[in-house]
Amino acid sequence: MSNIIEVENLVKRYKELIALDHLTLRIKEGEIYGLLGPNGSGKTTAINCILSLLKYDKGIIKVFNQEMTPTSYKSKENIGVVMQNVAVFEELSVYENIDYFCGLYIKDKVRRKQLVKEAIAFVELEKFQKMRPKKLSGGLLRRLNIACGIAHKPKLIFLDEPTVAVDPQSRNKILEGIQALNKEGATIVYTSHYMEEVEQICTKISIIDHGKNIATGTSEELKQMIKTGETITFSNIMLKPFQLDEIKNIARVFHVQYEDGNLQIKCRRGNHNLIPILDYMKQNNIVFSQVSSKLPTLNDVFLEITGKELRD
Amino acid sequence: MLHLIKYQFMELIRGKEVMFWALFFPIILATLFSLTLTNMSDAESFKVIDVALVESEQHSNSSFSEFIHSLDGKYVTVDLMSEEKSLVLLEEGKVKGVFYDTQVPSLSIQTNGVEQSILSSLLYSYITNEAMILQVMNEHPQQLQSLLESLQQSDSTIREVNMNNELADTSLSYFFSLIAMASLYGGFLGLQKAMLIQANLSSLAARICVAPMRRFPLVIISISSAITVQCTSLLLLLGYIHFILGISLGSNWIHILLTSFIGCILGVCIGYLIGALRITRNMTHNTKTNLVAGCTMLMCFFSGLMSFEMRYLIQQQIPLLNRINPAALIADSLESIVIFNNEQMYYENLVIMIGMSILFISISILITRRQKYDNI
Repeated sequence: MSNIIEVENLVKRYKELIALDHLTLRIKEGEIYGLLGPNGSGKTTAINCILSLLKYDKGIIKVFNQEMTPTSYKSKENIGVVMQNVAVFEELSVYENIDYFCGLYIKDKVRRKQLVKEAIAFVELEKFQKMRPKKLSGGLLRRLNIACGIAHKPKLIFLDEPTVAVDPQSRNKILEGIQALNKEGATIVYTSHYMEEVEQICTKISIIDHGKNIATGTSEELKQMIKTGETITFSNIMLKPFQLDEIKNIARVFHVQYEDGNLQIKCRRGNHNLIPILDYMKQNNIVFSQVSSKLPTLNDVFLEITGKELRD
Repeated sequence: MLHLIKYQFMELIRGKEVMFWALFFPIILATLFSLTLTNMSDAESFKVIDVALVESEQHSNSSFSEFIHSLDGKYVTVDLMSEEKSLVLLEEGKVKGVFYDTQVPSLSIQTNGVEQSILSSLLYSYITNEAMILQVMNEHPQQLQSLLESLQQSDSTIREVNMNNELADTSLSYFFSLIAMASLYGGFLGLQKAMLIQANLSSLAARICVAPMRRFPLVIISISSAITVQCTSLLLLLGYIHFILGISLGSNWIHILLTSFIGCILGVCIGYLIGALRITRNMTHNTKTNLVAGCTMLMCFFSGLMSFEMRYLIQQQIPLLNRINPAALIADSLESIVIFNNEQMYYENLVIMIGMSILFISISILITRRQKYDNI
């Protein structure tokens, strides 16, 4: 598959603040590419630069193998954008909004009518097509926002945090919709600070922090990059200081944290990490109320690479 | 393109706030004007007005003196006297105004009222026709008398009014200022549309800016829809004034409509320019809306919306302001064609308005042609 987007050493400064710090991205055709990072990490700035809305200080941006400029109309015809904020006309109905935005791309009336119909069906807003946006719930509004961005059937779709402030049911519908668009052939660039979503739908992920691409790969590849293979947590446990040292010496354990009666043990990748630890607890008659084991998440990846939580 | 104009038109007419300012507010104001001015007209019947004329020895303007004397007995009773005496009589209310025959003729009044407004309009009509009078005095002095007579004729300078059926010319002037204000309220629509093509101002604008459309057609689409809505609103206002309030704006409807149409374009262009300007870094939509409202009200104030004498005063003191104030230009155009039948002045004003519109929209396009922003 060829690269549909190539971003090379992109630098964007806001006076003293470096919003994008030599960011490099290569997005292949057919991917659902996730840009994961906390708020203010530079995800939206990167998208705005790629869309040629924002000036940047340095770097090269190519979309569809063409350098992207504000007058790249040919490339723009094949791009759909779903903004972070709902961007629709309050005074137009659901149908009219989709028809208006589709009309910016599609001149043929008959084809546009068909596309608008399909977009409405895609986001399941058939019952609401005559309603004004202010009468729609948050979830429906987000779906309208998506329909406005994808009605013209673009080959490349940017979705900038499309599920912010959306209830779980609507969120699932949106995520399913994104996967359906991808199956129909669209390449998706998806930004979010919800790691579960990114993990659920993205085929490739870049973790962004302080405008830098700190890691890229599939969800599994990213998890392989870190030391943590498993995190085991004990609740309501009483330990003596020497016991903590002994736990640290158990095979593959590399980090132990004991606080307020809760014990968190991080182990390197390997099978049956829990068994030797449970054996130790049994041999030393250590009681606890609960134990749980968790495989690493993207948050762990982020935490280990940057030293802070994804949602900090 | 028509498809996009249609939706932008619909977006505007469904906007309650926008339509209030563009349509309902002028209608409310017209109703209030009608009630106030008609009552005022009914209350005061027309009679010849006593005035004093003070001639300056050094800078007398004989054409003005002749002009005032030619009105003697018809509209005014003129007494030539010293300044001291005239001021005493003015204070006692024995004369309603004092005309000063100086190089630039002027008028002193003690209070405001219909009679004083008539005196103001007499002076105003002289000032606006002074060049013509002087030219006749210098080149064809024998024709001066007939010119002064023609200036007095009903359709040339001062229309003799029937107080029972029609409003006085001064009252009409308030309506002309109101039409000017309503035209300039197109600024709100222009502003709204200008905000839609600047990606740094809203997500909606950003979404429109990423579409494969050139900037120029986008500007044309947005301006066309704003002008269409504003012209429709103004047509409704004119219809309301004429048919519902029963106020005759004269018979020159084509000229009135042309002025209104160009006034609307100018209003939209002013709003568009304010929308495009980036005076400060964080200028919000609300700040710009207030700026449009403030500028429009200021222009209307100087054009005489709140006080008829204001435009006359500016004509005397800073005439250039009346030539660049869009509200004064619209009101003057209407007045010159409806009251004075002065086509030259009418077309001059129209040309200035068209020139200003082209200038404003060109600046707006120059500013908004920038398609990449430092900050979004």
